[in-house]
Amino acid sequence: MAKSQDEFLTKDLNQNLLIIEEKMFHTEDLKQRKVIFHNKAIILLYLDTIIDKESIEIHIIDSLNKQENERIEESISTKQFTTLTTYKDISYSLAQGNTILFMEDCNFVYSIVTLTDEKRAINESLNEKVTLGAHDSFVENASTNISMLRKRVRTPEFKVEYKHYGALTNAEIAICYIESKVEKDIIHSIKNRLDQIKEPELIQSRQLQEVLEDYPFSPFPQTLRTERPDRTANNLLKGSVVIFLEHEPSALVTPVSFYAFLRSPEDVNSRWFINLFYFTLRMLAFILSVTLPAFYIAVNAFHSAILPVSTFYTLKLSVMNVPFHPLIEAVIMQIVLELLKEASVRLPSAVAQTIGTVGAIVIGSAIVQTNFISNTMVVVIAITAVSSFVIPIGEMSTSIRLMSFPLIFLAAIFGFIGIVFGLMVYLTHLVKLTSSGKAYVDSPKILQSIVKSKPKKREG
Amino acid sequence: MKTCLKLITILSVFPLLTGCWDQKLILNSEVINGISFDLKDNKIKSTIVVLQIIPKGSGYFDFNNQLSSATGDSLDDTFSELRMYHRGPLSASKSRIILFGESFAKKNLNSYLDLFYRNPDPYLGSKVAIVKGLEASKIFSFKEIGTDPIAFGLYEIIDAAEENSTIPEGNLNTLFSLFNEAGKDFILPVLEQKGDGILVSGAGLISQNAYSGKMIQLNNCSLLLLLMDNYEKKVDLLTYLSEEKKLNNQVSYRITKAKRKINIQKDAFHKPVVNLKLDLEVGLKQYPKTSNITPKQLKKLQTTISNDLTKRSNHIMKTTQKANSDVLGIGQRIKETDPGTWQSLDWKETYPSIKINTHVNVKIVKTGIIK
Amino acid sequence: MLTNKNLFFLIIQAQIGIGILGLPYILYNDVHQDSWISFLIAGILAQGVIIVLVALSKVSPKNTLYELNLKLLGNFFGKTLNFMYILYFIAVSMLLILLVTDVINTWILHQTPRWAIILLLLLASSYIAKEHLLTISKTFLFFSILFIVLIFLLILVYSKADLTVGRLLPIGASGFLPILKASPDAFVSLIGFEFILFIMPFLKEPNKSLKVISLANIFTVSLYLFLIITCIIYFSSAQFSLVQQPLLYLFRGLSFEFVERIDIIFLSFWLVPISTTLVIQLFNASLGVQNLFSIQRKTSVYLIAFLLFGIGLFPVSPSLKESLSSLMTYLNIIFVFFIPILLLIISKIRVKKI
Repeated sequence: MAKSQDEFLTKDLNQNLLIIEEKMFHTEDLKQRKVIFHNKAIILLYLDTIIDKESIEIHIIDSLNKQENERIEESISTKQFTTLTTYKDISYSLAQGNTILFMEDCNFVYSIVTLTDEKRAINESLNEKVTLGAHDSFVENASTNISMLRKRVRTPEFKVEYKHYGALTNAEIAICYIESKVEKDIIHSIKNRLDQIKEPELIQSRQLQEVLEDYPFSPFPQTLRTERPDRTANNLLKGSVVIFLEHEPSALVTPVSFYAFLRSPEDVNSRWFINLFYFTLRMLAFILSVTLPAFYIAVNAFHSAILPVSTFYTLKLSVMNVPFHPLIEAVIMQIVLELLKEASVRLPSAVAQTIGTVGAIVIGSAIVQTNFISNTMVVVIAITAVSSFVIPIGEMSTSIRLMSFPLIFLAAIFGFIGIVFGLMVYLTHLVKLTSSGKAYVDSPKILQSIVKSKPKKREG
Repeated sequence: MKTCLKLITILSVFPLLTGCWDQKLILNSEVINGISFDLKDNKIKSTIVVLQIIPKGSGYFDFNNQLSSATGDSLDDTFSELRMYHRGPLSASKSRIILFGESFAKKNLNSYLDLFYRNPDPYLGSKVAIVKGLEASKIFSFKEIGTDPIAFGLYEIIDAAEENSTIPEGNLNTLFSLFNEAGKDFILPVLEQKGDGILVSGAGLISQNAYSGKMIQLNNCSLLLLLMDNYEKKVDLLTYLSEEKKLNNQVSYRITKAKRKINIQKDAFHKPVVNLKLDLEVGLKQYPKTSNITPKQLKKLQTTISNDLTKRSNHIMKTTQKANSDVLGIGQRIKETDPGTWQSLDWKETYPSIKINTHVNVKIVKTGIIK
Repeated sequence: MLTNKNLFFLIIQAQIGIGILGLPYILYNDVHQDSWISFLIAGILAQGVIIVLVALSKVSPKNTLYELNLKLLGNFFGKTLNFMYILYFIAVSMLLILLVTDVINTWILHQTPRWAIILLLLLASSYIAKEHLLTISKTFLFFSILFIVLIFLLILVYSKADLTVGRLLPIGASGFLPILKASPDAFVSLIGFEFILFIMPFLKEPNKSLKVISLANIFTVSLYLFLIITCIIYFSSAQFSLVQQPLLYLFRGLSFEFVERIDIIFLSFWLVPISTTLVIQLFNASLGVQNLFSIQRKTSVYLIAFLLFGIGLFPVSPSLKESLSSLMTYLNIIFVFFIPILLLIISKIRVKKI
């Protein structure tokens, strides 16, 4: 049988069916229906699990049974169809959810699109919430997602390109961009990069991210993965390319700047000074969550001279009887925090609240009362955590929180000087990064963007 | 891949280091809050006060002043003994107050205090004061002032005195620039014990970096600051309406505007003659009678106050000349404006003998909220 | 391609570094309250040198100095001069490292061994220096926020401390000649603009480079002037001649409600502008090594850093350090001032011959 891989169909219907069944490895959800059309036996072959049964009944079987038309093409003309001639094509077509129509004495078949359209309803975004603004979010269906974008950007320049990657999973990728906004080089390089996908099992966005990013080993994400259509549309209009992977409820936006990770669609949607305030707040949150634990350790272990005298004694009081070095305290506390966060994410939402209470009240206060961790360290780590949660994109938020660890070690060895050199390296790294060839961090143009968004004085 | 390797090298290098050479955990550090120096039998006696906090659970605490003294031939000699009394490395990075006994203050302070300026550790914001009438270390045996531990309390009362324009703002750092400043001396607050309390009792005149032993009494301190043109927002002064009747016969006033003019001329022998003019605008705070003050009375009051202040400021200047303490910086002014004369003068010899004419002119602009 | 903005920040970061900590002290010991006049003269001198340097680099704007040397002096002499330039930059970096470790050891980390500090410094600096010039200039732009912090802190000094403006008087008391004689010291601290010789080919608008560098120079000179004047009116004469790092001492005396010792934080962060100077020296040297030995620039940065680390391990006595710094003053003037002038003259003669 192996040699008949690329063999063409024969005119023998039964043999064809047998070979196809062989090709599909006798999977048990492969079903057939028999219809007689103008005295010819017609076999419909499909995978029961992914086709839309209703559509087969209404659009294929009904119209065939009516026998109004002479030709089969005309009978099934309400559906998209193609003709196939090889066993291999047929088996792949079946796997994609098409129905194959065999005819007696015919060495070709019709492949009719009957993929089920089942999908989750459009819900509110879980990870990127806003109080003011659109509440829809992407679902696990690329065409629905693209429709959400199209509804926002109604222009013929909105262009979609489909590509299939992954020899095994045969995943569909949609590349969307606005023809007049996007730079030709960028779209070219993105396509080139996508062509480099070698893995046969393409199933997750991360795999796309890996080939799209210029520095995949950097701790900072260089492609924005978002589930908000409004954020995506904003970036689309700024000239970014949006990539959807079928069955992933998120869009990959590239090129994207670092600042885009610090912005929520809500900010852009607000008046200019609220916009500015939130931008500053998020920048502060970014700086705090990276440096605060390190700063505390440096002060605690090296530079207590800089503290005002009252704070000095408060701090001294809180670390009395704590057996650990502040470095170990910080690491323990960070780990406890990550544990709590993970636990509350994994548990069903009703139980998660209990974890919140247990974490905050029981562990938080008990850990201090038992003198494992000092009061101030709990405060410091809590502020760090809260600051990192302010960053709207979860991917960035986590990497920022983890970026504080190297600084913690440097601070424990060299004090402030260690922090400063660490920050120098971080900043250089950030500036070095590019996202699809565009600078990741540029000199902040926030002021310009706000001046632009300021309402212009009305003429006359 | 390359960046990853680099990150790994950067991260792996540091834990390899044996690390933390300069670590000085807040937990182990013993910080000095107050230091006092006395001179006893030609040896320095240093006393330090270290605040020990006693945790009482959930944020409450009690405190205890740990006092220790040592004698030696130099400051660090005493400190090397003092270190032996304490549980951790001693640090002066949180010292609030430095007290000098009268005998110690009469030495050249600059050379004695070198330790504080040569090392980066000590805190230069600590207040400095001279203790009169008792050994400086005895002050620390008070446990607290108000609710503040003694060292903090002393800092606060000197700070308050500065705000009331009793003494000029100063700390260890300003002292460093005042030491050796050519043609300028300075004053330090003087602390005294009265009954069970400690108070700032005046301004000690420093001459050539050493306490001259003479001081300006409390009632004249603010006037001195006005003459020095170095006062804070709040300056209050008192004047007797007559020499004879003293009980409830004082007028008090707050300075709202002050303008000082110094004019330095030379007399026939090329000696400087200083004309000091002080124009004050004041608002009345207290008057012996709660009744209308007529314009005539007001005018009379103005001349009374002017005459009184002129007399008193002349007296103050005489005192500074007797102490050979050029607190107004007249020498510095000559140095800046007339370097030739400055070169020819030996200011140390000259200052006590120059003529200083002061004139105070007072104008009452407010009489309070009643007329 | 570097824009004018990038060039501006590259030059100011090259100019401002460790010198700012100690310069007022050096100048004050020479000419007292007239330091600022000396400095102004040095600034004008620097402006003259900038004109010469830009003229030299415009002889052949598509080449760096290393390539130009080969063109002008022929293969042998050109290569010798290039090698000397590389040695010069390594020497400058070495002295810089010595001074930095010294300051850190006296002010903040008293017990930390020198090698650890040098290692940290070189790791961070070579991490930046190996990048493209554009990346370097962009990072410098972010680092320049520290200058704003410095200016802000200096202004705070005016509100917090008791300043005597009279200390600036009498003006010009030291006499013209001593003031002039002190200006080479000041000139050395302004050095950094020689960088233009090596980055001309990377500029977007080489024609505007003179204007941009002059602006950078004006910024640096005014920042220094502001600092020197602040120091003069803050410190008394006797005190000023004692404090080796007047800028740090200035901040040591300041204390705020929320932070008592601003000098520790300031010095820690000031290591950034200091390392940028090191980055630029590393860049210059590595460019030369790349040119001379045809090694990749990235690799040559690491090689030079490794070499510097090796030299840094040798113990240096304070007297040796002192003599090294005075030697460097002369070397600086030779390599930044005399040799470029010579090269410019040679190039003019050559052009005429042709």
